[in-house]
Amino acid sequence: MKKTGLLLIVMLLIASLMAMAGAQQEGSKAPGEKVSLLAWWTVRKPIMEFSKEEVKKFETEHPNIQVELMGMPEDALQQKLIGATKANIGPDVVYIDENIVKVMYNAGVLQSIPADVYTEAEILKMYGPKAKMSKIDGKYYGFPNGDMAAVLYYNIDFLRSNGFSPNDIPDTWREFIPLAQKMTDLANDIQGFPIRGREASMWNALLFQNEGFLFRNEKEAMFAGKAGEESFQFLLDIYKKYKVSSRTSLSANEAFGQGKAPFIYNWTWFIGTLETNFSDINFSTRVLPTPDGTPPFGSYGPSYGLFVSSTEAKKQPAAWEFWKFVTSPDFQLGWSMLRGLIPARLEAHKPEIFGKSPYRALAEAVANGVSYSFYPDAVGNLILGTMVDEIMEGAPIRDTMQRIQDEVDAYLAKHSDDCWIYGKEWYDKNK
Amino acid sequence: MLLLGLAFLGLFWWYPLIKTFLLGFKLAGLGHPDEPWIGLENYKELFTTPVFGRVILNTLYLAVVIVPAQIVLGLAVSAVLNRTRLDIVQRVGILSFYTPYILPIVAIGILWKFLYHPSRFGIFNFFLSKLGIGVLRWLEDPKLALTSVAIMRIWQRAGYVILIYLAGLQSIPKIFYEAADIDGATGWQKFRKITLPLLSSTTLFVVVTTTISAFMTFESIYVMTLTAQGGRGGPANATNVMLFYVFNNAFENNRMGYASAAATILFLMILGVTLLQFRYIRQRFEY
Amino acid sequence: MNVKKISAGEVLLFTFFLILLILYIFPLYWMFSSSFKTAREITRIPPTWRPMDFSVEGYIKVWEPIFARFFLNSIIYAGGSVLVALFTSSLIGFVIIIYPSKLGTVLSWSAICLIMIPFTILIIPLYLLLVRLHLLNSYLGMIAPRIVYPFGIFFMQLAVRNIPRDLVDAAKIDGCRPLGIYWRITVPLLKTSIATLATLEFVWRWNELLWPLIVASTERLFPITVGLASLVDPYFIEMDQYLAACVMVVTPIIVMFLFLQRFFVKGIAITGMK
Repeated sequence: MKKTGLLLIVMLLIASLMAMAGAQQEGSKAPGEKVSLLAWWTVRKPIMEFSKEEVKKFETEHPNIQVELMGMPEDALQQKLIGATKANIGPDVVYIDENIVKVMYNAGVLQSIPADVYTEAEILKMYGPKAKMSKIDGKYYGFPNGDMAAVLYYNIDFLRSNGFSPNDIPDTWREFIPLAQKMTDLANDIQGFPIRGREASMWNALLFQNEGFLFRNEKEAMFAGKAGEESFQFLLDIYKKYKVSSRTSLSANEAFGQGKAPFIYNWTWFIGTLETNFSDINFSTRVLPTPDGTPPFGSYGPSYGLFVSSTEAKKQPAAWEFWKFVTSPDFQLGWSMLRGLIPARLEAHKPEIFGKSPYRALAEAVANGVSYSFYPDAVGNLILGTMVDEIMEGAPIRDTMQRIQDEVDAYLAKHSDDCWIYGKEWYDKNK
Repeated sequence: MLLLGLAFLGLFWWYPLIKTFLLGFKLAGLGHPDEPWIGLENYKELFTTPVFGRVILNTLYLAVVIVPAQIVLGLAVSAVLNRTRLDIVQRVGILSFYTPYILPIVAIGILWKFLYHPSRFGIFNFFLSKLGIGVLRWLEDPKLALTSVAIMRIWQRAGYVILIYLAGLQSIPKIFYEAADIDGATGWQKFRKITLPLLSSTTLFVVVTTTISAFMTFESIYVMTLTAQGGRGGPANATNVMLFYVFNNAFENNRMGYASAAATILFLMILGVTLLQFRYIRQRFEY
Repeated sequence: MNVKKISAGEVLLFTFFLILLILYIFPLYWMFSSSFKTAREITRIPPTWRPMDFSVEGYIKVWEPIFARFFLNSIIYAGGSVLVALFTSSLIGFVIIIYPSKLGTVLSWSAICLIMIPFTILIIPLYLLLVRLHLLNSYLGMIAPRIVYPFGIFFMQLAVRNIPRDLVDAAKIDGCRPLGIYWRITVPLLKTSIATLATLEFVWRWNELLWPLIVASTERLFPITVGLASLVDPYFIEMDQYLAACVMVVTPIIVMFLFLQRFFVKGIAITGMK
């Protein structure tokens, strides 16, 4: 008797909770014909502000659609998005980082582009042949906003006050290091070429510069080798031998932002940060020096991407309408400039903008780079976290690389579905 | 009312507790609604992954560093606070030692990351370089990072321990000390022979709660150890502790079964500490 | 007045104590003072002991309207959890003690068994449960597991036990209904206990990160702790802004502490007895 009573109460409880949740969802829907869309957006301030302005335009063009942009920190997205979609409170349109596109596809979060939105012929016209790289299992889901790459940032005023000009920056590391050394004054916190906080990313670029590769194919990593080793040795030398960077001084980004370094290595998203947070720094960019002064300058990769994730059939037409708007050339142009990208939409690729500083170097780096692979954080943390940390702390280079490569291989054996790998084999075939 | 209370207790406490055990033997996560049984697979993987060994050692290390330090600090400060005849000293003391404890660790963590800055404007490094010791890479040196987190935790939580000891000290009858004065005992003797034994149950309580709280370290790791490429818990897993490992596997990697197995082990560690307390109490009552 | 001579040892001890005290509050001072420096002054070597170029730039840059929302969310989460938990705890404690029954004993033991189990251990099944109940990303989902609170039940039982039984019996004879007794006699007598527990609970919930981090999917539901944590980027370069944000988060709690010090200190003494 008591037991059934208890059961009844538990059931009642669950029912009431569910009713409450249902009521909440009902309440969030706008009355009448109006469709309200929820879009999970980047939290980057400049992009958010730009997008909000653009959304207003969209809403005047489409009076029956209402869009709410909601900032989502990138590192939280993976966990939140699957959960929210399963619980039917997910977004209708979502901005997804390239590393987890495949994870989200596998979780069934993404909607494929219907033919009445864009046909394949239209897509190829809009994005060029590169669009095919975005195909997953024969279907299109979304595209990168553009390509990004790492470049060398230099502080023009800093160079001038030391008697140099941007033209004096050499193309090879061998000549670059002495120049950086001339401008280093560690006692006064001035680093010629600070790399703290950027070691992992830079190792990755150096690996490709030294003609190495992260992966052979979807199932096999191949970074443990001579190229990887040389790249690590160079990074270690920057601290110990060349002494152009200090581990107990400002990090690379800080130092450059504070005007305490003439050069840093960074990806092009940093252009936006510099312009909003350190507007007094007079900087420009150029391609990275390389071992012999010739390409490749490192790796480049597409920066994803906007996707439709609406689970309600009723909302999907409106969601695609909004998706079309945010993948339009105008919107993509604005986004790309703020994010430091060469736009993937061909029409947005305006030479008068991307042929000039600070984007020109990016275009050059993209044109002469090796395409990048994407993998979930579990792999990223192994390669760029654990391995780089350990080796930079003095662990034996060769053994550590081999150990991590074995761990990565073990992961790929189980989860290669979640990765999106363009390995050496793919590159040789498609170059 | 009671039934309802019991129902909620069952739904939000007993059910998850049992479910955690069960999930440890399953393949679970969002997108696996059927949760197939996989036996001891999760545990097998836990004990063969080198990282997990590191995680357990890290967790134990935190407890080993934090617990004694807090007890010594707590006893010393509360003894001084208890002796002082000036009410104002006691109040200001309580206020300043206790404040860090009631502030969010998120904010405290950000503050300490700033204090720990490896450059010489990082205030700790500034003092160290003034003293001629040289600078440290507090949170970035794998050998030091966990200790740095522990120091922050000791600072943050000591106020709690101090208050508990203060309550314990105030409950000791003055008559013991008066008797000892007549016998001509020194201050240190009084402390060793009277105060410490009478505070042993307080100490036990402090040991247990502090150990559990050290085992449950999460926020400080989450806030203080974030780097661009290594994510959190670095450098090189130096600050990867149990609860963070559970969180990371469950909510970042969507491996809820595996994470539940780890959570079960964490639960057993906590249970062990708690049972130790009960056993000790019983022994004391027996003789 | 005690005119006993103060020994040299004692002077030493107190000096040492004073130094410790100053060291102890220094980090907080450093947070407040650095938050009023410019980004450039923060990284100056040697550091400046007080803001030389006083600036509120960090505050202006970091402030966003969404912060108000974060605070509101914290108030809803912490406040809601405390109200619900205290109501249920005191009511259950009251029923168990005043109207003893087998069920009450079961409930009482069930709660006691759970006291030592940290809530955070249970987050995985709770999260899955919320997904299934469609309660993810809602205030209700955040607060739901706090509806009953084992330690609160235990604590309130102890408190109710200390109420003079005569009062309750007299009320029973007068024909007062159980809820009437609870509301008119028990609650007023338990005021201090409730306030003590409420203060502590509130601060714990306010400071909590992990549970809201998991349940709140979008910024709109982030409490201030989650908002603050998501503000910090991996490069950690906008330190003036972070410190300004920390000051904004910390100040209300310090103010609250100054006013309710009595309850905080008492609360620790009581929970310390558990």
